[in-house]
Amino acid sequence: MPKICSFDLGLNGLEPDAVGLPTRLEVYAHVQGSCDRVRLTVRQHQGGASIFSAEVSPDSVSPDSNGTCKARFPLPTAIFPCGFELWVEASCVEAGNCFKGEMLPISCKGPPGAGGEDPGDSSPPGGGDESGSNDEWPWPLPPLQFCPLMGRSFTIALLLGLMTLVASVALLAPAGIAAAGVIIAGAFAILGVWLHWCTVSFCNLWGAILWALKRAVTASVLVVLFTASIPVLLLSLTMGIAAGVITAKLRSMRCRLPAHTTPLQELPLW
Amino acid sequence: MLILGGLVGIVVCFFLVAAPLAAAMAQQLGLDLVIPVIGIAFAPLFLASILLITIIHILLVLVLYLIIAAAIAPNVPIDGPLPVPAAGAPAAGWQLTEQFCRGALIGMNACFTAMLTWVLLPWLTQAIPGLGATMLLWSGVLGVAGFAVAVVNLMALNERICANRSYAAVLGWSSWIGAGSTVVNLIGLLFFVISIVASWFGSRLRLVFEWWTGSWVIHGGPLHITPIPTAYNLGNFLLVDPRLNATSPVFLPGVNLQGQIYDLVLGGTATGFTFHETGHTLNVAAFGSWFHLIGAIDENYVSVSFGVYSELLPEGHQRISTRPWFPLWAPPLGPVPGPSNRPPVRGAPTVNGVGAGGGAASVVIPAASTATLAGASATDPDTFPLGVVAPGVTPALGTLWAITARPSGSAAAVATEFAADTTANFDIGGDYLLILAVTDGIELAGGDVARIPTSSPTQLPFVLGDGQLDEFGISVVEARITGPSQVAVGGSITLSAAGSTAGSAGPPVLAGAPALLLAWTASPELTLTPIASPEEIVVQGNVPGTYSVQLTATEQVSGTGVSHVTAVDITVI
Repeated sequence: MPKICSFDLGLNGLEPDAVGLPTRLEVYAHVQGSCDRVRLTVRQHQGGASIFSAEVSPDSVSPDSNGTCKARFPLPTAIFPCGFELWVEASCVEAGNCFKGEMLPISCKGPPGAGGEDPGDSSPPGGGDESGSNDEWPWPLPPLQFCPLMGRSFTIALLLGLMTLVASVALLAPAGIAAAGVIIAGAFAILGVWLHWCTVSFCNLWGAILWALKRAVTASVLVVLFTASIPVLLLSLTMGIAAGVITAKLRSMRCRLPAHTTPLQELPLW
Repeated sequence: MLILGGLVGIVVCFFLVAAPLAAAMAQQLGLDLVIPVIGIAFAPLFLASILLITIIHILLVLVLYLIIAAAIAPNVPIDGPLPVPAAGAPAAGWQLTEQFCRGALIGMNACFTAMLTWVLLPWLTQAIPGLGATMLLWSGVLGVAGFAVAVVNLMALNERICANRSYAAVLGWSSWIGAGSTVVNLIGLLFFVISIVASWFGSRLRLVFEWWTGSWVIHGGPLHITPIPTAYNLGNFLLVDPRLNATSPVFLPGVNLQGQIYDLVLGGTATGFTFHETGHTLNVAAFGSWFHLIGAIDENYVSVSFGVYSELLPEGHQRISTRPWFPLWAPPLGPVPGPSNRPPVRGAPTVNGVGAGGGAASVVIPAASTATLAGASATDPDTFPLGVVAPGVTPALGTLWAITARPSGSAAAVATEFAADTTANFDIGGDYLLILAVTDGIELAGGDVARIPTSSPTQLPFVLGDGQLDEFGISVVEARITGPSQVAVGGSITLSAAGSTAGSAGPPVLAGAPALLLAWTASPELTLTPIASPEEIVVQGNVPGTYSVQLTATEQVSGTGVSHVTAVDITVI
């Protein structure tokens, strides 16, 4: 009778091309329990056509010392940016009975002081280890908590700054406009920390900015409807143009776009 | 040539349209003119002049449109891009003509926007208390914004800039305040409001904002009258027919096209049409309202063609593989001189594990049973457009399972018609035709639009398809008993199985074999006596009570031997 097992899955982008798009992908499954042979499959989405599928057998890539099976494969065309989500599934085909499938973002290189290139070492995406014992990691929180915190802080600060700007322009309050400028500058300071210490994908960074812009544009349009403020109208168009440009960029990179209803908690930020 | 055309357009518009119009409106509003000399020249013009100037404006645009139409007409391909001059090669005469006139249209619209934005909104809203005064107060700021929008407009004189996706965002969004777009945008706003109000009274409506070009997509509402569901543009408002699904094909039985009735499977989706229609948004932003309205008349009432100039330009923003397009506006994916959209590739869908039979009966099942439909094997080579609108949110492919032919009285239904993998329940015996249509949002796998002549009772149900769709002939076996339900003790009745059917499940496996093998069984309290025809049985009642008679019909022609069993209660009194 097959024994029970379970998987932790991961997907890494390797060997980026000139514009930073991975040319090879590495899929891995950390096996817990008993399983001698694993089929690893990557699809564009659940139920979609298979991009890659292989049985990882003891003769090819055997489970390494910490029980991780992995397989690498080239992409004919580098089209998936770091952070792009693909469907990864693993099923035990010998001496075990387990299956797991989930959408996973392509994780690219680790940040300064990250836990190394080998994705099988289960380092958190932000780099370092979960205990925060890495000497070059100066923050009290481990990367797994610090990086999302920075991402959310930046997003909220940016939204707050834009909202303050809308309100101040509507009230024609120079002090408020200045305060908005300070808040937005603070948001970009947080962004600097986020970018320096964490691996932030193109899709996630611009997705976060688009998330804030969409809400700010909506708020400004509501203000225009109630106040007929021409300055706010022009501000909303300016922010809308920025949102449009980012939307085009994200689409051309085939990134997932944040919807207008996407809650902040569901925004992928690391 | 584009620049020259732009300069000519600016000069002509300035003296014949924009300056006189601005002067007349400003005069009426009591505004100081930005350029005093224009005020001196045109100050005597008043309200009545505005109509005359507008007519001159429309005529100028019309002349340029007609010149372009005449120049490009012999060179519009059936599909694919309009020829452009090769690198380093001189442009042909018709290409120079098109470029000059396009430049002039852009120049005219930019001039109009620069000269009118500061005064048009205050003039249009002057009768609205509060709003008119506010607009008047901010006319100076509007003027600056108008000049900025005009500069954006003039950038369209450079084709490389036009092909930039970021420029499409700037141009589309700036169209909200550009005076050149105001007429169409106001009509669009009116339609938007009507659609919303209609939705309060039950009209189905879905509002989506297309952030790239800053356009409202109004999916639904009452403002659609064409026989085939489609979409149309009113500046920054796109109106999509409610009969279209957001991401899946739709099946429309009984569509009358040019006097002939079709069952029609449409490949276009609300999401897919957005890209063509936002191309119109860019048209309006660059060439103005009058160009858009003239183009709409040309497309729908004069030329009645996809090959008209005002359709070629926005189609360059979408690029259906079966339509011509002008490579001006950036497509959502791929390089600007790149190929058309690549339609999806058919997969190997199955019903109960059996592949499509090209219309022949391929699946035999008993009545009142459920079949498993598997249609997720199609692929889209470029994942456009559904795969890029909102990756991970919208599916890369939209699917439709539809039962397009069925026996009379059947209420068979697909459980989830827009799901790739689903089930269908077939209730009564007979022949069914089941289709699978797959779209990438714009085009069907196998064809742009599949038109299926509607079946009639005299037609065989398995000859409907035109080969563009995956088709499954389904034969459903049903045993059916008719006859009295009561018999006296010692008496007899005759039950009939003549209503039993396996449909016309293709040619018999064994020549001369009966289509159905019928077997009768009953409770011991009843006596069954066969008669000459196996379709009939004599039932004799022996003991009072209610007893069951069963009929098993086994299909004999496909080799699968599918059976269906039915029973009736006979009361012996």
